[in-house]
Amino acid sequence: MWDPPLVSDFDAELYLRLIGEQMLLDRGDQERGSRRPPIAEAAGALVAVGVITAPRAEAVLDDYSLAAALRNDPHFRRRTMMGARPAQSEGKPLPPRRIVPCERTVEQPNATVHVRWVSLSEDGASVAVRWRPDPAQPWSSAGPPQAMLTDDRGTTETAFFVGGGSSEGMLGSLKTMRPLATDTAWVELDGTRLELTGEATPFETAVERLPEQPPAHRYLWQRIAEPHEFSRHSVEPAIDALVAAGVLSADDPLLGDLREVLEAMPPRGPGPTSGAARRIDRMPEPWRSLVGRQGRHDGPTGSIALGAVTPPFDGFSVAVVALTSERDAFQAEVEVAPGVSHRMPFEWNLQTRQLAWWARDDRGNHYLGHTSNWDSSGDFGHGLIAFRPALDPRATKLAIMPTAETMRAVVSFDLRWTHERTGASG
Amino acid sequence: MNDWWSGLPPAQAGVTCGGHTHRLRWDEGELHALDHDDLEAERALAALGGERCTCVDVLDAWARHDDDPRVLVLASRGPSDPLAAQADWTAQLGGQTAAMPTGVPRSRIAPRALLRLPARRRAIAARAGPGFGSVSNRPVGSGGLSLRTQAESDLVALLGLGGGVQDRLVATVAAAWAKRFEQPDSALALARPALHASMHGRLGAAVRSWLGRSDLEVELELVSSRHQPTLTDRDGAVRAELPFTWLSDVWSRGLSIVWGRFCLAATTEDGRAWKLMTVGPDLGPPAPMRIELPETG
Repeated sequence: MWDPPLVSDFDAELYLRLIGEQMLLDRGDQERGSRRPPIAEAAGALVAVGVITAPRAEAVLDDYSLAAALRNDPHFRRRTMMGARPAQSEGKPLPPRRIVPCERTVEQPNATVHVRWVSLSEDGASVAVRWRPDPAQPWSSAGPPQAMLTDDRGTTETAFFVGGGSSEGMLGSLKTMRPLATDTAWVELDGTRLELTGEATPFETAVERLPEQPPAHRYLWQRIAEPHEFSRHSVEPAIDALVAAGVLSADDPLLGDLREVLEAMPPRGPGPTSGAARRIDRMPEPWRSLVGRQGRHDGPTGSIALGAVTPPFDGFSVAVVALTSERDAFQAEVEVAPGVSHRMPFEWNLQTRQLAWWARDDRGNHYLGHTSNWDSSGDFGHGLIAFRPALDPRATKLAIMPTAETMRAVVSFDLRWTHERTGASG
Repeated sequence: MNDWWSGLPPAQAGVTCGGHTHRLRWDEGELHALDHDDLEAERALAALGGERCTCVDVLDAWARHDDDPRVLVLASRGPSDPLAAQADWTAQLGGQTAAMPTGVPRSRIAPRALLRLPARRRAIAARAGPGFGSVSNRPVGSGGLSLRTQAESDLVALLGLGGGVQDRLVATVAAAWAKRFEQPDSALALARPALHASMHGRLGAAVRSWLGRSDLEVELELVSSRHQPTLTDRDGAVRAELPFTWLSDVWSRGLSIVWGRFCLAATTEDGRAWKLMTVGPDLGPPAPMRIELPETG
């Protein structure tokens, strides 16, 4: 049981420490399952609105994280074994890239490789593939897929597979560590030539400043749009802290809207509704249209190669490489600099900065993404963003909108789908 | 005026040192390594790459943290809040301790003098800079360990000592800061939230256990030691107005609850006869009590 502490003449550090004390006294509250500790939620909110500095809040979290670990020997041993998370660096803007759609199927001795597109930039080359092992051969004996890529200048680089899947097939990219010529006319994949004659879908990129709003409002909306979790229990300590700090009124209408949205959202992000009461018409946009289309399975199928790189916004740079749509969701393959890492639910530390992944179509619908198959280091992150609900089949245009604290990038394009061909060629 | 350790009995812990179990004994405010005659020689040997002496490592760690507020944050809040202390918490101390402070003559110092820890603490703190010497992130030496990493290792080791020695460390830190509350300075301002909260936690554990209500809301206002301490009911919550000295005078001595009454203050003239100001479970007006410790030694 956790209740917000009372601190007169608000002292943010004391407030956080009193939460820590309450957690130590309520020992059971330390076993929080998938929820973040309330002290970490409160700290994140207070730092965001500027009533305590991040280093000061981190010091408090560090104290109580160790205090909790000292009361639970297995946790203590895990804590001492875990290294520090790599710090989020400034990161350098992502370079532009040339994306060429390339629908080809290449038969290899132990697998069938379906090529989807080729990406070329000064950082390296990659070939997006669907890799299906030969059913007659145990796929695990072949090891992770890899290939040799060669350009028209004669440069050859080894490409390693990045992606995920099962024994029946894997979806991802074969990536080189060094670049090939970005203007090459062709690329050979293990000797099979792929002519780069296709054209990527045209796109537009822009950066928009978010509408002004009180820092507490901005923080809470951004918090529940984060791509890792949806949990009313997680956000309540943040609300309590903001109210205690005097930067949010306990009867602020925002709180009603926020709780309404949270009630309508299942724990793992927007998906099928659970039948809970929801007064959709009263919800603010973009949530109204998002919640309104939950549970639909009528999305178009196909993929779109883009290669869009946004201008810097709030210190971030994002590349939207491609989009794939299925019946109940659509996915964007993206890269981000600096890296945004998964936020672990049980973590005590202040989170690194996060992006919210919004999308909007020309029918007025909004979509929210969560990370999938994500990999991040301090200065670079990449993976898939899975958007829900399903894309409206009537939509003809889409904008992907990675959103930071004060700005968002907008990558707009027409929805002209490429459909994967079956059967070998080449 | 009595010494702050009046009424605190000696405590002793065993540590594995050089393959043997050695004794560390706390008595009258100081920690002693009973099985070493020449601690300076042990330090010199370790500095030259010889085997580390766990007893020396613990004494040095104690010196670095005998006024560290983090001790109060990490240590037990009372019998209802045990730590999962393991013997190997102390064993991990070796190899992560700070270098010896400079300016201390290494030879011709009687081992007993080396146990006068405050001087060493001040020397180490002076090297570490202002604030709490133990919570800086400044790198230490060529090993690349940060002070925070070292501090964490120190604290874990000290709190894992057992035999009640770790409780004496808490008492030592509480007494150090109780004195500073009387003459507030910038260090107190920095440490105050940690001190306040860690006393709040101990008060809460004591009161909840006393009244048998694990969900009881307990409020604490830190007041001057010249202020009359109180414990009252406020809208179903228990509200305490106590000076920080309550932690060293009462809680550290195990006097929080005596004969079913909550102790607000404890004073003594001779270290044996104690006058307590107490409140009953009805949170009525305070009433005095007298207790007397048995003769020792």
